[in-house]
Amino acid sequence: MIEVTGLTKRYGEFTAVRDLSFTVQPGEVMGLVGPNGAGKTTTLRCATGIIPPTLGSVWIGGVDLKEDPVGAKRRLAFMPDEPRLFDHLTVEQHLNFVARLHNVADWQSRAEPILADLEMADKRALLPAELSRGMKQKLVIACGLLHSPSVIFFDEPLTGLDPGGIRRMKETMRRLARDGAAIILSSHLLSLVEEVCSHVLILKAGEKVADGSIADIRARFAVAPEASLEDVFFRATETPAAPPVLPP
Amino acid sequence: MTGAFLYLYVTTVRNSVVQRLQRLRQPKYLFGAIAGAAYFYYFVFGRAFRNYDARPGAAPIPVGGGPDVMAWIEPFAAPVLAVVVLLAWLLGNSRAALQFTEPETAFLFPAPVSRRTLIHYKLLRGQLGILVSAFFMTLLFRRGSASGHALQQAAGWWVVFSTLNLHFIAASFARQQLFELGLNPWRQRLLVGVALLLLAVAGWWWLPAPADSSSFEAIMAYAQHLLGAPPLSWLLLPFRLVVRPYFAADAGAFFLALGPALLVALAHYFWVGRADVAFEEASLELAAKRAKIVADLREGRWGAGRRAPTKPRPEPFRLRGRGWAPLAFLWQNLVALGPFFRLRTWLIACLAMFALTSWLGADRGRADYLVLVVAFSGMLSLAALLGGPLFMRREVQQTLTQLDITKAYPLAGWQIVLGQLLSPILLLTFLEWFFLLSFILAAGATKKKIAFLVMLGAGGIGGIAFIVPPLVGLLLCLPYAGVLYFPAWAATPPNQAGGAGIEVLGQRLIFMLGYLIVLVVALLPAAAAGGLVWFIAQALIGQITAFILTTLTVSVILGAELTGCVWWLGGKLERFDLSTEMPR
Repeated sequence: MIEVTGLTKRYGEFTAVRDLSFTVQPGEVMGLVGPNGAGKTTTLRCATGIIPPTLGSVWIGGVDLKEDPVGAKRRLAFMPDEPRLFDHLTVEQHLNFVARLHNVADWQSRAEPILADLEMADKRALLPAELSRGMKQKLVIACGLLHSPSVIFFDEPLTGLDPGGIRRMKETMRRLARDGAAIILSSHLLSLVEEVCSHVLILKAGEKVADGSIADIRARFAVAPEASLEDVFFRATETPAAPPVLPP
Repeated sequence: MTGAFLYLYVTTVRNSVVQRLQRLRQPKYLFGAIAGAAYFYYFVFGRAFRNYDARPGAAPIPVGGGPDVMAWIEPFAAPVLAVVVLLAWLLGNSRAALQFTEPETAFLFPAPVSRRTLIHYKLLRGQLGILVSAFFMTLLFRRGSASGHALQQAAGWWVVFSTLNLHFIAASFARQQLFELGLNPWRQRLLVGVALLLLAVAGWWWLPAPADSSSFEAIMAYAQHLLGAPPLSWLLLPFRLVVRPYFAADAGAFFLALGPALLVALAHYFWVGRADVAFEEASLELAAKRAKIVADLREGRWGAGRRAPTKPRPEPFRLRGRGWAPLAFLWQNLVALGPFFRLRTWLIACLAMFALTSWLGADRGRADYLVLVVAFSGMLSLAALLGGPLFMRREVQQTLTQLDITKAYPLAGWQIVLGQLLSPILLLTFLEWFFLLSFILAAGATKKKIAFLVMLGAGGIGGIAFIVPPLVGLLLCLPYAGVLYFPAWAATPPNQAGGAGIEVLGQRLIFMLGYLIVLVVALLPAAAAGGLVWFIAQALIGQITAFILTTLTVSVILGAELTGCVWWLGGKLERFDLSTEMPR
């Protein structure tokens, strides 16, 4: 479970996130959406312990991130949008390295099904330079899943994936949620959020605009029951959808 | 079109200057600029334009090379230039590539601009770099020189660099044309190599042997004679024409030499201008490669621009999934370093040094060289100790760029710090041990008769070797602390223009000064305690026991300082808010 209470992050005079509170229960997938500069990345970084919040608390699987950061981080996995890998480690060696960091003794047997599921079983001896962008992204995901985290943060997970990879990624997220993980998915792809997430949190200028199940949010902001999440998003953030620019 | 290029050029220079001036509002750049300017004033400009010893009462004698020295060097300049040119033909790529930046390729290549116009643009653009290089080379080589006017020498450098620049471009065009005719790069190199070999054989056959080779002066006189006489003087004529303006003793000689030199440059210009070679594709690749190098350097990645590896490297040891976490960092770094950086390499080097010193010591005639080994080992040991941690600073700077990954690891701060420090500590320690061993072996082979003193020296050095690991660790903590406490000084923001300049040079000077001060402060407790223990113990229990006690004391204090530093840096790492340093 993820429990964020009164999270505030200031950079000098500028407040990136203001008094943000939300909860993600096991089995739930919460979509974190908002326009550029809304504070999504800052929220993710604070919630994963990468940067300290100015105010507020974050609990990961019942562990206070501030009091016991190591204990909290043992329970979470963070998949950044840009896969940054070690040039000289193979796929398998990346998993070995991460296993040691998380103290996973049986990492090889755990890695087998993960690599198979991500269609990377035959890539274990390859270096990052030999992997496509999508494969690198999959390796990051494999590393994140190796220690069976109960809390998972995805930051734009579909970047660089091919259609097959996108479908499998969505399925993986749904399966992880079914298995009891609490997931936060930050993305600009509202169709992905609508498809995968059970809940949505809309941020604007560092503040929560809406939070709840997709049905609740739709009921609150949409004019018509069949309105898409995109319509709801623009209404919630009061940003008029710009008409497409056509060449003269 | 010239107007557009001029606009691009002028606007770029103006904005760059404005940006640099604006960032002086930040203290780190302002102080850096002051320190950099002071350095240039006192150590570069001040000395460069001072021909004579300016101390009060000193005689007005040239402190560097006068006209006679320049005249002595001149005959050798042409062959050096010839070698540079030959290397361009031997080592150059077979594809014609002009150096454009990525924005230049994006905007100029699809624009309605002819290939020839692009070449002209590139040549003009290159002039800025050439002028700056000429200016700095004049400063560098004029230090203490009493020959010729500074402007004259700068113009001389400009002629050399401009001609070389044109020649490199023309050579790359010619190589591409040869490639299109079916002569691949290796065949081209073979052709040049065979031509050189034939020339060498002809020279060996034709040229007279030296009459006297007993002294350095005699050999130099022979070489000067050869270079000044046919056929070498004919072969080197174009090169001599190019370098002659630089060596001209006065204005008259300069202007006489300038005409022929400019003719050579002009011939190259026509060569480049008339070549119709497709350089766009290779230039695009080159621009992308250069952009990656710049981006990597700004992010502090060592070995920037190197191609990403495609062959896995062997593991130094088996890393189990469970155990001490910092070891994972060491394992990862040793994998990245490759199979050369292993214990067996160190052992082989030690054996090689043992064999070398034994061989040198076995003969009285060779024994003199052992003094060189002793001197070099001592100097390199000190240089590695003081400079090694600074050399690793770029690696430490990566801490900042990777912090959003490492901070997500389920590890305490001290574990991450120790993990990241382990491999540089290990590398520097083994390097230091190698130098110390070389010192002992060479010194031992030199003074066999006074074995006792050697044993004592070896014992002393052995003691130093015992101190090395914590000392190296402590020294490595300093740049690490610099990165964590002064991140803005340690890292150049990735998207900020101008990663170089007088202010950045000044920042580095200030950082270096701070490093030395902290180094002294960190070593002071161990040195004081060690001195005290030695003073008391040698009076009470004898020198050998006192020495052991002193070594132990110093090691323990340094070890305690290192432990404290790692703990303290770990805490700082945990509290470190990289959000102020990273794009949100």
